[in-house]
Amino acid sequence: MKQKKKILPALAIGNILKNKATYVPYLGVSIFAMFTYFVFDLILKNDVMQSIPRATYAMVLVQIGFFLLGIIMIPFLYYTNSFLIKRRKKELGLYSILGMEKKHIGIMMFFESILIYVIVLVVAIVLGLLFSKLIFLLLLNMAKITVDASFSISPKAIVDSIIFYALITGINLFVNLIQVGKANPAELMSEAKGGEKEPKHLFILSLIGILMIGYGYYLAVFAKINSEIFLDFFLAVLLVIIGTYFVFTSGSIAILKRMKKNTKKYYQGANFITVSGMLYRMKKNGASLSNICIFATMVMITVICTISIYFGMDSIISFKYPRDIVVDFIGADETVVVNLEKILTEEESMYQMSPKDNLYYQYKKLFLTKEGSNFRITKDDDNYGNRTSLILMTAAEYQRLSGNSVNLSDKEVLFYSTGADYAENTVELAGMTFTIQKEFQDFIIGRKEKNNVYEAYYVTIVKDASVMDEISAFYGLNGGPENISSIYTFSFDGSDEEIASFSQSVYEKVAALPGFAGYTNYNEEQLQVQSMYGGLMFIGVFFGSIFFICLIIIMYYKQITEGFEDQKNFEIMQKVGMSDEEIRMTIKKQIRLVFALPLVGAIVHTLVGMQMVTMLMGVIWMFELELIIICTVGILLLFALFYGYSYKKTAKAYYKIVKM
Amino acid sequence: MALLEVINLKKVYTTRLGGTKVQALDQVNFTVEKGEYVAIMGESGSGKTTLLNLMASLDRPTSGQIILNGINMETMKQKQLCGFRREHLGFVFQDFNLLDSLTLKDNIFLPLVLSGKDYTDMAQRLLPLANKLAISDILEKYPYEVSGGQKQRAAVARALITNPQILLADEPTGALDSKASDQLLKIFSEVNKDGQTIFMVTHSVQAASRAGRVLFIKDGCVFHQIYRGTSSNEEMYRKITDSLTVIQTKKQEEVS
Repeated sequence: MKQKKKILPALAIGNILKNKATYVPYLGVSIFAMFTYFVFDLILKNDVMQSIPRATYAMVLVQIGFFLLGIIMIPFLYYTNSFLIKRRKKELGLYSILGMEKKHIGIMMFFESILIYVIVLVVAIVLGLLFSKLIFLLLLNMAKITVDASFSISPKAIVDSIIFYALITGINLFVNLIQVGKANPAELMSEAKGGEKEPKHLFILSLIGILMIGYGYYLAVFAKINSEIFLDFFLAVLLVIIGTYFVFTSGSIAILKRMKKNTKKYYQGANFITVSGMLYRMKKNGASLSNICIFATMVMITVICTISIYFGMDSIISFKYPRDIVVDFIGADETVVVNLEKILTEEESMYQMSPKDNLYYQYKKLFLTKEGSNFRITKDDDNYGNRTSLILMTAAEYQRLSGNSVNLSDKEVLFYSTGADYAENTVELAGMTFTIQKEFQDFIIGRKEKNNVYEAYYVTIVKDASVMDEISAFYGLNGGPENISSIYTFSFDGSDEEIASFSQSVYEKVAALPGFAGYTNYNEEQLQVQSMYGGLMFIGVFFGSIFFICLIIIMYYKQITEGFEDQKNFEIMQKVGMSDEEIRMTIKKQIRLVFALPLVGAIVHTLVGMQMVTMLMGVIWMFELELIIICTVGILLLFALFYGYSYKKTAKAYYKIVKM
Repeated sequence: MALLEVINLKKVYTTRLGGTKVQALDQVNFTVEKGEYVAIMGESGSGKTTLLNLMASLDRPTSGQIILNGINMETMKQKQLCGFRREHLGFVFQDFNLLDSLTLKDNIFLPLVLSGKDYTDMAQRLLPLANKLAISDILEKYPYEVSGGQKQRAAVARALITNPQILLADEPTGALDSKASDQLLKIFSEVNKDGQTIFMVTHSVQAASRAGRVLFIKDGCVFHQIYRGTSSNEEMYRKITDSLTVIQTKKQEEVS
């Protein structure tokens, strides 16, 4: 009895060592996942985080990431586990036949689980402790938060990880025990053999799949930014995922069967083996190939977005907050500007800072609803997509700002849109039709971005103040110079603290000026936004890598499974009279095809998806189209390279098995 | 001239670490005439499978020669051997060795496709064969969808479709129930009657009793052989059991 107690743990250790090829990747992915989980938790539970200013956004995002990680990990580790147990059934059956009771197998599996549990947790926690400070600094750096904080280790995070992984291990062990408990030794011994039954209604299913992908693509390519874009986005994603599944499972088989029907071509050496082999593989692997395709698409889009935002951050900030300080006034009192500039000069010399990019202009702003070329007063039930704002400015003001001389008649205007081009010859304002003399493409008061929809507005330059007043009066904003708004805005260089104290001092003096309506320091907001985007990128980096590792593991396991199946086929073909060389060539061809299909699918998905993602990036003020294109191309190439590399690596493992 | 000549065939296996040598075949000599049906019997480890593997050119002998239709296999290169195997030899194995990825029909076509034959030619060859083997109805099925007997008949069709000079069978009834075995052996007798040379390795007295000649192999040597002559299957069966008894008792004498 004592002997037996020692034998079971020894067997457990032996089993893991013997099944290295399958256990090492499993351990690797578990360790990486638990490591990420632990580090995220450490960052969240750290006392320092509460005390860092502006870390809230980054923290909320890390919190969301932490939650998602938990959700993704459970099914993924479940999947890898079910792969492991499938591979080992024969061995367990053998133990059973050799006289091990179910109870003993159970105990042995329990020891195995404990062993893996301990290895994964210890390694993950040690790595976590070693690298958490580094990763924490990475997060702060990405969020552009400068803080001189000591990072403390929270024991609570360790406890969390221990519990969380115990939960996963528990689920997996439970499933394994049930599977072993239910089956008799003979069932365990007989591996799942043969191809699966051919799915029915191939043609209809593949047609549905193609239509779904087609409609998903249509939605993505022709998406317009409006209130429905998020709905459309999710619909497109869902359609493409389901469509991909159908196309990979039914479509590929339908095509191959067609090829098979062409007897003349089919019964020709290489085609014959390739087509029939592919048919067999697609029947078994259609689902997992579509998984790979979807995972790969997710990896690429996540990474492209992350990198684009990283490189586009400055552009985003400068678009959203072109200048640090904005002072608003009501009334057209020119002396105010003089006084304000005097204040600035005084403060400047005191704080030794010089404002730059100073901009001052007078305007009237109307909130209206656009109906074709007509602008009318907004009603409560108007669609938000059609609501917009219109800035009125006199020709004289425009001339002062742009330096261009203009000559407008009463019924003529100049037009400018910060979003998509207005592209009409006339505009109806206040019930009158104005001819647009010219629609210009840039204007200093606001950068034009064609994809900007949510915050785009129109600027109309009219002949003089009397036309401006007439229009504004029609829309309920009464005329007269006392109702004109003015903006004075500027930036300056300096550390965040310097800007804050300088700004405070300016504010106190400016607030006393007549007509003062508001003072905003956007520097603070910029930092908030940076913190938010930094958090977003941090999540992007980690999720991109987790998705990628999951992807590689799926491919690796798939390859191993096929290797074991092909081993037998290899032998048969040899006996029937194929040379080693021929067999290797055809198998290589099939494997390469099976590998390339999801990659090609994923690249097409990504390219099409980027159309829509680019639009969505506009919602977070990311309009750098060129940057996005460069990132997309770069990431696609890089991914294809990595993918090819992992193909090479897994193919090696595969040949090792086949040649056994 | 005999169809197949095996002269002084010897095979020695060396264990991987270069230690012990195992003599699997030692000075095996026999000939097979065209149209003959030869069974070879022997206990496990007597060298039957080694002999078959050598004849199938799946393995190379240590010394000695195998000459098929005047061609010495020893002189051929690895690449030539593949084509040779495909065109002159037909195989039937105990565990069928059908590819799960192909329908029965395509499994049967495999060697022809590899030899680059035309589809119409293949179809023409298959038709009478499928009828004779009673597998016409299941040609479009996959190996995992049919019974063991049906699988083995498909495997026989695959072996015969190339019109091989010799059909090599390794325990063809080993994985079949008695009814399917009987059916298969009947088929073997029929194709033999049509002129097909068959060389079969078997354990089963029943299977061997259908052959025209039975060779007994023991400790790597051909030990004894019996001819059917005009005997019926039952008489042949008795002759074989008698021979086996003699071999067995002799062995015991040797031991004691």
